[in-house]
Amino acid sequence: MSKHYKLPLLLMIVTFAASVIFQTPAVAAESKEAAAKSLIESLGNQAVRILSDKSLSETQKEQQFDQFLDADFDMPRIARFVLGRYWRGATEAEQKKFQTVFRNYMVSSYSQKIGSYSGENIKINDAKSLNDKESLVYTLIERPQGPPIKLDWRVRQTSDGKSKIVDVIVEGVSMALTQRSEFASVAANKGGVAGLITELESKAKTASN
Amino acid sequence: MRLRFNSSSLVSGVAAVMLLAVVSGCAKSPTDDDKPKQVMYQEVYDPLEPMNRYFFDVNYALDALFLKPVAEIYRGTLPYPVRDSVRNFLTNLSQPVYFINNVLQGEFNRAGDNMGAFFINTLWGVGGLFDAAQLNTHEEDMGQTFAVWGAPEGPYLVIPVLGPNTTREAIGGVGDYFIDPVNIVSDNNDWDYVPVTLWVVNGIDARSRAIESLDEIEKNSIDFYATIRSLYRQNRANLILNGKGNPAQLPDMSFDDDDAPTTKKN
Repeated sequence: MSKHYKLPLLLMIVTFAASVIFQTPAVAAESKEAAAKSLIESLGNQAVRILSDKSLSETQKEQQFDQFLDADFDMPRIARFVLGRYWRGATEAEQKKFQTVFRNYMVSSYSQKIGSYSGENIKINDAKSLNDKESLVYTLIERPQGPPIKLDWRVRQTSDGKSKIVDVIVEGVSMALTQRSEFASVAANKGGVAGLITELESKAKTASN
Repeated sequence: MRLRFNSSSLVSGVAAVMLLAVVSGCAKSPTDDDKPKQVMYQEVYDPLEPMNRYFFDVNYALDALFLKPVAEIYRGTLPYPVRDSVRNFLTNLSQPVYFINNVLQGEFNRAGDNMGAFFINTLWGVGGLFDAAQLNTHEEDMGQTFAVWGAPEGPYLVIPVLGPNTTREAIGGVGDYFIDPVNIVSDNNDWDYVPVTLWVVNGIDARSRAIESLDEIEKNSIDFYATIRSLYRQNRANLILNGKGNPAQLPDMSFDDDDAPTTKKN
């Protein structure tokens, strides 16, 4: 008698398990774009909050940006991408040094850039999937004077489910690609990765002055 | 309508650009033992880099001495609506050449927009001062047309005064000069200063809109020349694709095998 029960029960369990397994990727994919969108939204809110806080000094603002930089941007990956073909030829010490120097350079240059905020606000439009790990969030920066600026954010989900920004595309121009091209030129002309690191260090120092 | 430009001036314009391209054939590429440099060389294709850097510095100096101060005065003295009207007027006068290029590219919907915008803005927009049509037309030049036809880009060029270009875009610029109906009409009526004046005003207005952004880019760049080159290239690609770039063509940012995305969705 038990034999007759086992088969349908087994079938039920298998079907149930299958439906759960096959449902999860779709659910996960949907929430990947939603996660990307909410990341950009919280980034926008954080930025506006810091920038419109009149009680903060410039250095305090820079420190605040520094904190959410690691949380919102995948800095190690960006650094590796931006170094391009020179990554493989560099020693591990050089790679680590580059990641640190690059990060400081980004903090000092971008906190200045965002510091010239004057009434712009960010409008989040849409999020599309690029592949099963990355999505593109389309936003517009609306300015009081002049046409809005298109800003696309490339967001990548890590294996532990966190979303981080890996590239910002301004009016169709990828910042990561631009920097990779620029750094390749510097490395070619100024003595490889070591020369590039020196240039970035001195730029980070002067930019923060 | 008689075309008064004689064939020799067209030939000399094209010849000058071709000479530059031929010189690129004599340019040296990095040796094999410098692998990253070689790969990068292929990616950016700037065989004339030393000459380009020189002209880049020349243009930078000219900009600092003349164009930027004038653009700053222009922006400081004229209120925003007036400058907006200047931009509208210039864009309107360019609609005929945009129209021709769109037709040549087979983009008939866009060509229709160009024609519509031109007539509506000229008649209802007080000679083009106001954008009554609001059709959001895009600039189209002969360089883009050549690209759509499949012409290769050619080496990156920095031309004195004119700035960043490629061989294809430079030849396209010469072509645009000769097919632009505004230039043809001016020539037939002996309005010698009209094309030059329009070109200068366009330069000043365009420069005035990019003062802070260029300053920012320069402040943060460790190689301003290379940055501008990359920005120029990406912007051209964008214009040629008419903004319909396929996002899946963005470069791969995965580095470890177990980290790579497994499916590519569009």
